[in-house]
Amino acid sequence: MAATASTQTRPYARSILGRNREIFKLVVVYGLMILLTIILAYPFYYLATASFKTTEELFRYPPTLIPEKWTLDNFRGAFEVVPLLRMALNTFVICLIAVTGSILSNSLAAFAIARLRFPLRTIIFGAMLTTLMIPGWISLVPAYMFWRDIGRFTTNLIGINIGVNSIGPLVIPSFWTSAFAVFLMRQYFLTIPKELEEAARIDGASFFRIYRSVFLPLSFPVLAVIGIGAFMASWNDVLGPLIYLSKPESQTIMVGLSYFNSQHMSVIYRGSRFAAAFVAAIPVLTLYFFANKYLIRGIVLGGLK
Amino acid sequence: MAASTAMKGATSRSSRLLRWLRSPNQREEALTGWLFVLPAVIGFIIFVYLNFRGVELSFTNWSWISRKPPEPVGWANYQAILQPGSDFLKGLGRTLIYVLFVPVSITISFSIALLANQAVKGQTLFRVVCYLPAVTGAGVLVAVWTFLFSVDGPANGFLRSIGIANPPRWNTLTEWKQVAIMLLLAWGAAPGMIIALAGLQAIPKDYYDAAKVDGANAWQTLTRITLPLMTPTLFFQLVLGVIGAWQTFDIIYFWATPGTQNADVNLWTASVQIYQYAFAYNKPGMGAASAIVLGLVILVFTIINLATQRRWVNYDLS
Repeated sequence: MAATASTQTRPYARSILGRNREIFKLVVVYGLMILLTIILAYPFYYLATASFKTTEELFRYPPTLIPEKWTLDNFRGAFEVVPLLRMALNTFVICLIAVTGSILSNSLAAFAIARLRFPLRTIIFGAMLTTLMIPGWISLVPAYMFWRDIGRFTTNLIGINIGVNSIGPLVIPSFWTSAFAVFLMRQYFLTIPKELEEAARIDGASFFRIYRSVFLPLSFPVLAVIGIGAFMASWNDVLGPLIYLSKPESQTIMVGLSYFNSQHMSVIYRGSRFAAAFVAAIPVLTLYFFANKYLIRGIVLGGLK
Repeated sequence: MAASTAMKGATSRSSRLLRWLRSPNQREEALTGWLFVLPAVIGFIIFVYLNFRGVELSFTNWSWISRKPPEPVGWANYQAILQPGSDFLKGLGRTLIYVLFVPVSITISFSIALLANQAVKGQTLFRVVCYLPAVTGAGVLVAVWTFLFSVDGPANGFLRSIGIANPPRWNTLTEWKQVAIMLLLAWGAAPGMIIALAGLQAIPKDYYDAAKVDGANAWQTLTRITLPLMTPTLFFQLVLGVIGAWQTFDIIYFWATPGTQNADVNLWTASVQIYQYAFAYNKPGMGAASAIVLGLVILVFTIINLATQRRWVNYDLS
């Protein structure tokens, strides 16, 4: 009797215990996830709401979750300090050219290295990979001198400056590939079946035709990763525009943000600094909102090698 | 004899190349290939040229306003920047904080990845949130952070509300600025979880099933299975993290902007000093020399990392 009771209760007790443990675990996991989500997202939420708060409300504690009195004064202030919209437009132009350049040049080089046989192929690829190991700081000064000379040369030759004080130094390098992007794309191209290009070849297609009509349409995910990455890198770049551009009306928005850095500026224009940062964050956040799937997959691809 | 075989090898190789190039199909393939990698080759040549030029400049006393070509000064720039107490060495020392923080960042991202690897609903959204700190530039983050951690900001409001009458003066004392920067870096470590999570998901399920059969508890599973099999991923993050940490620039540039009232020399990292030598102090030669020393420091640390990997990195899976 006792024996049957125990054999009957034990599985029952275990399932109760097991279920409690499951529920406990679920509560802990969700609790931590929610806590982390709040910690990670709060600064962005704060940025968005603070941009619309009055200075008085900005300094109130505890901070109001939603502005009590919505105001656009901060944006007005921000536009007084720097030509913010102009800067956003400048940055957009730089980003679009850089995205075009990096998608074109990296996919062409990666296609050749992954699929075409030609002398020196492995040596060229190996040489490109070595550039990843040398920090860019070493070429900082020589690059400036280089672009200054290029600028003088093209100004004398055709009357157009593509060197220092133009967007040339910020966008032209994207046309001569980045080793990391070529590496990433090559990995992707290697997974495309050879039969496809052989069939196209038999039909008389040129290699460029195969690249354009077979490889590019099949490679949207990796092209998206490279494109989004190039956009974000150009949008968030500080050092490049800081060195190569000088006039405020030709600056990018990230350097524009640094104009709010001086102590008195950031106290008087507290709210404006938020408004400017908000304007600077919106494009990349929007892009991330729509394209995070590709970006995250790309990071995994690049991170795992 | 040896010369003649070498000659023969060379001729047969070049004749094979010639014969190969004579076939129209392969010639087209080779020409297309060279054409497609031409931009990359041009970029590589410019890269090599600029780096050699950087080495050359580091031995000159050239200045931006000088009309003459750079004049060699031997090791003078290196002596100046490596003198005890020089701006550059101080900057290098300050950068060490960020290098030592890399293991902390990796621990944070690994812990978050463990959480994100739990089989519950909503993980896709959680991952998207975790990557947020990496999306916007340093300028945006510093704008928010310096206000959250300011004398009258929300952080101090919270500290006052729990009874701390004199909360830190975040924007005046270098030590407290440093603490706020470290908090920003800890918060910014979350995106690293994407790579850690990919590592976790590459561990075969069988290992965990076997551990369960053997009666292992959660802690044992973590320390005996997950951690050892994660060491290649952690190592990868360590190597890249250290290389990146030595080059910390953006956050410091915005937090202690040179040339403004916010400038705080005591926060400037090695790379900020390179920037200052090169462009603000009109000493491009010293800037170039500092960059080369920084490059060598990074090289030494990378070699040390690679040398220690045999002791703790487990490549059983791959």
